[in-house]
Amino acid sequence: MTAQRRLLRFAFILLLVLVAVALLGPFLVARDPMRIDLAARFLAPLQAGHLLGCDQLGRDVAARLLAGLRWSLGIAAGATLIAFLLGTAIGLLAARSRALFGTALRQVTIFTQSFPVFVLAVSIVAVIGKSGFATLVLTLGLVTWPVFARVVQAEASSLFTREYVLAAEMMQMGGARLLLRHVLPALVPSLSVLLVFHFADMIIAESALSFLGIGAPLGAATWGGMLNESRAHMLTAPWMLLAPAACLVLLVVGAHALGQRLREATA
Amino acid sequence: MAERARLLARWLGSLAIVLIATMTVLFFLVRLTGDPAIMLAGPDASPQQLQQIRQFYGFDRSLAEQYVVYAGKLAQLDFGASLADGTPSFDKALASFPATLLLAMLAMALNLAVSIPVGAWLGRSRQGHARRVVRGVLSVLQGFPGFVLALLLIDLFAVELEWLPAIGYGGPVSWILPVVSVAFFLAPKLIRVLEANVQAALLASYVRTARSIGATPNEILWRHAMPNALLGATALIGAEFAFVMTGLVVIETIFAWPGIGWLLVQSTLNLDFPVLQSITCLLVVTIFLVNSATDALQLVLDPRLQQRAAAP
Repeated sequence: MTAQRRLLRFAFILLLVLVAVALLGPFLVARDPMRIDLAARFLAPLQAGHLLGCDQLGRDVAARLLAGLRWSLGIAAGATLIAFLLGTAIGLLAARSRALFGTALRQVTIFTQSFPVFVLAVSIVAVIGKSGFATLVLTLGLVTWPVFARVVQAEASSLFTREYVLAAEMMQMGGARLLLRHVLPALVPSLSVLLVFHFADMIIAESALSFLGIGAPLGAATWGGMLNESRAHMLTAPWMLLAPAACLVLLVVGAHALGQRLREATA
Repeated sequence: MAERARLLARWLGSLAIVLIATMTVLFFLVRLTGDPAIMLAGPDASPQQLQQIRQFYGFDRSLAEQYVVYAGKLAQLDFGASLADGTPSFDKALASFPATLLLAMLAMALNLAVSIPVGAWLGRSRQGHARRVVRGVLSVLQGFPGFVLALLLIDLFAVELEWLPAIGYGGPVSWILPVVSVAFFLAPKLIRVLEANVQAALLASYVRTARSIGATPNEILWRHAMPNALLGATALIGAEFAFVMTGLVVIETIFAWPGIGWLLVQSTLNLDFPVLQSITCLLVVTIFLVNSATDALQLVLDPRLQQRAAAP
């Protein structure tokens, strides 16, 4: 096993641990991530039962990291799911209909993809003016679906010309059954790789948005928000920067490693 | 000649379609998601103020009427005045463009300056401890969101070591950290592609021919393999350039770099909608131009693509 493969395996296991921690979180850490304790301001790590120290308001960094992990995973999973469902549906439709409708769908896809995703997300969240879980999930999902549509459309159009699909069509197999039985299964390998990498992208996008103070409710524990707060206290409380930065990088590297493994396995 | 004119007309046509589509989407997004008067006036406005704003902007008229007025104004590049200071919003967006362009150019230059030699070195051979370590570092670096990298660099070089200024646009020294953070965020991807392309090129038949007529390994790498590797990476380089021209929202905010991303965040937080509209329009045009330039460059660099495009 090469060093790189070992690194991949390590990252993959780490990702699983993070997801498990997020699911079991409330049972592991009893501390309230929002509880302010001015006596514990800037408490260094490993003191008075605060594993990772406290922030500028004396809130427990570990508890906030955990709450942020649940938030990040939830947003990324939701947004990925929406982008996946919408993108796959549109991609299949665009590949299936050769008439004006299909061309129009392809053009819309190209147009949406050529848009600066992050700019669009920022302006949509700003325009809607409401922050919260649903807004963020919907925005990120609705802005990024072309990633899936492009791939599905390209692969499905070539599938629709394959003999086994043509044969099924000739035997009067209906549209829905044809898609479910013969087209979608063939798309699973590339879609699963895409899902994982998209999930990582959504984690980054969410943390960037919450870093800017856009999307998450005021005061909520998010990794982006923690990173933003840490900027004013880098010299006195470097753990406020390093803890969320390390978690974010580990999560993204873990997801990338998983995607890499899937790609190698299906290639 | 007629061929060229037709291509140009088609190009202008698609630019127009993209612009019209963008502005239409923006228009209906604003009208559908809430009362634009409240957004323009802010949540604390009195009912009289709201009424005034509705009349002033014509929100009391029908949606179709509003759309025609809106489109007519846009056709004259009139995006309205910035709500923050009353200056024309399009001029404001345009004024922030040079800073973004400077950061984008410097970052892309550093990105290429790092990626080409590293990609060539990695693609040259599979063996060696050093290469293995570099590959591992690259795969970890790929997981670093750009702004996290920027924060860590600030912490190390500006706060702990105090070698460099943490923010600013003041002079070349203050450019170092923003440029390095952007370049090191872009480089891993480009290095990976160049590495794979160099590896593939070194196995190609033209390299075998070059070797057989006595070209040295360095000649082969730099005169034959690397140009082809770069050719294959043109699309990625174009995409990265489009990204740095439009996507540096967080980096610009961190370094207080007065570019278009920074302006976007400021006007988002202030709900300065005319400026947001101008920025969006400007970015759509930029992306369109960069994409067209990338396509054209690929055609110029690789005549094989021209033949393929000309064939029916």
